[in-house]
Amino acid sequence: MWIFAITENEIKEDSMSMVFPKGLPVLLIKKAGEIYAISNKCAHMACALAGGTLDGYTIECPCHDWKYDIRTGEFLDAKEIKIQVYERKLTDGEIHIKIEEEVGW
Amino acid sequence: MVKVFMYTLSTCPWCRKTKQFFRDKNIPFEFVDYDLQSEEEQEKIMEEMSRLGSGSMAFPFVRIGNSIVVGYNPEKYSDLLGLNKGKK
Amino acid sequence: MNVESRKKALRYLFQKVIDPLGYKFSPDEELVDFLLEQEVVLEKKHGIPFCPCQGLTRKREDNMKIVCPCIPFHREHFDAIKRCWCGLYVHKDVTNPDELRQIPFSEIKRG
Ligand code: SF4
Repeated sequence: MWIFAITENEIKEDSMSMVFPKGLPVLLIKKAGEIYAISNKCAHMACALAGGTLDGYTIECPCHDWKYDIRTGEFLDAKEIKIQVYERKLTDGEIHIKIEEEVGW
Repeated sequence: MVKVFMYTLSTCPWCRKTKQFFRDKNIPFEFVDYDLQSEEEQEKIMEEMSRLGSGSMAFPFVRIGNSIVVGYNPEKYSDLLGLNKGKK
Repeated sequence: MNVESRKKALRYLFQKVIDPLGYKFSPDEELVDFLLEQEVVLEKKHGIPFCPCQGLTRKREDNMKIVCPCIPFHREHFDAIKRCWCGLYVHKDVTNPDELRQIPFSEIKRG
């Protein structure tokens, strides 16, 4: 199901914004004009990635420095570990993201 | 008798097993728990460990005479102590 | 926080990390319980569940490589000995952890 997340110009280049569609912690990141949507929870100990730092397409968790590619959700030191990335689409200046009906974390 | 010295951590089960190994064999040894030392002392130990060839901060770090064994390895300890002589 | 419940919580969190890496908790329950307890103690002291079998230094960069589960940062080493340094985790196919040895990485590289 597609859910409204944010209006496109509400989020600035190179910045992040937390949203909670259906209560899910989702982190939106605008990079090179594109808005990426990833889970806001680190795969390690569920720390909020929103408090981390962004370097290119890499986000670093503030707790123990685990790094992820915001495009794929892959943990850089072991690609088998992934955080959820959400499909998104832009319609009329609004970003919608796709949420599965039964998303566990 | 060959001198036995080890760096250990108070939290590490293999360090306990290592100490137990030497106690069971009635071999006297000395040890220092790295995590219970002052920062200054820790720096010195770290320096010594890397100088003696351990590329990591893995414990236990056991010195038997002039040989170093990193990790709980009873076979190696026995070899270095000459406990396997005559056997096999 | 209650130690037992925190041990359970860490177990739950770490299971999700180690599973995709091909590891499981050691069948040696006594060892697992002891190690998790030490991690809870370390977490109380430092705010982070550091490794009970590796030493902390003053460098954050190094210390972050020994937060449990540290498997991603020591993959080549642990894959070779089929267990993590502490033995908290073993390869999924391991049934008797007592057969595994704690071999340092420096000796593995030498072959
Ligand atoms: S060696 Fe094992 S117990 Fe220690 S931090 Fe790494 S994964 Fe955890």
